[in-house]
Amino acid sequence: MGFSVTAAFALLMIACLVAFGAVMAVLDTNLKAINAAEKQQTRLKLEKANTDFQIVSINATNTTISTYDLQVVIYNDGSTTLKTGDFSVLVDGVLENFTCNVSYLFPLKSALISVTNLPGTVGSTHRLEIVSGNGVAKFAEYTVS
Amino acid sequence: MGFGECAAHIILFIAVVIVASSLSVMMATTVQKISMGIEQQGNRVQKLLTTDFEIINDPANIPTKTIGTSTAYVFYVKNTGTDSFPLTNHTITVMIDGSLISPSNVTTTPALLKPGQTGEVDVITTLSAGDHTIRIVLYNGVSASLEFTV
Repeated sequence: MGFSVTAAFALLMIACLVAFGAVMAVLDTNLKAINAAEKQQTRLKLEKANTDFQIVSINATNTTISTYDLQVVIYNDGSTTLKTGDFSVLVDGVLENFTCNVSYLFPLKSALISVTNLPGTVGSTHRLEIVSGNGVAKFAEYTVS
Repeated sequence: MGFGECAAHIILFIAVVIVASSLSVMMATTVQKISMGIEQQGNRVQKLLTTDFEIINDPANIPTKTIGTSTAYVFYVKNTGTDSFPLTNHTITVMIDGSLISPSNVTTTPALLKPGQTGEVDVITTLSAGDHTIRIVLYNGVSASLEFTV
């Protein structure tokens, strides 16, 4: 009787320890992953809060009777380096393809964004929206000359 | 201690070991299920934390396009998180002014939106002139909304 109780207790004890170990291992891995994700989220929020850029100048020059080319200079007056490939340019609400003279827009530096073959005649007014990779948007209006 | 008593002890010992082993196996199965649950929940929380997006349209200038014979409003969605997410009419929910838009009236490109990328959500619906609100909800519950005018 005495040995049976000891054997049962030992078996259950070992099972409990193994189970506890398994749960702790999974919990540890998960908590580490969640912690890393939370850090990433905080970093993104900080980056967004520190992101600011200005549309410095807009040059819209007509190329044909009904189309024009757009050149926009933007200036990074925030403290986050922005990847220009992640920018989005919307003209009159429509997403347009663009080129930029730099790949990264560093703080206190300017970049030139060019969009070609936009529909519009001389004297027509248009709305421009530039959105950075982290979602900060700037708006401007311009007239084609 | 006779043979009978010894046999009784052995039988009792074997019975106790069997019961204890059964309990251990049951415990192992339950713990395995709990571990899997914790892992799944952890992955879900991790995805929630790393998924983020914005509707980047010019609120005063929502473009339209013709799909078949219907007119669709075009909304641009930008992935501002650090994880890619699926962008299909079955993985997102679109609501305009609180009304659910049927997935059959929603078309999207591309199917997977990578971080920094901008996708397109075309919504076939009829909107009266004035102000409206669109809300897009992703598969994991992360949502973004935009007030716009047509």
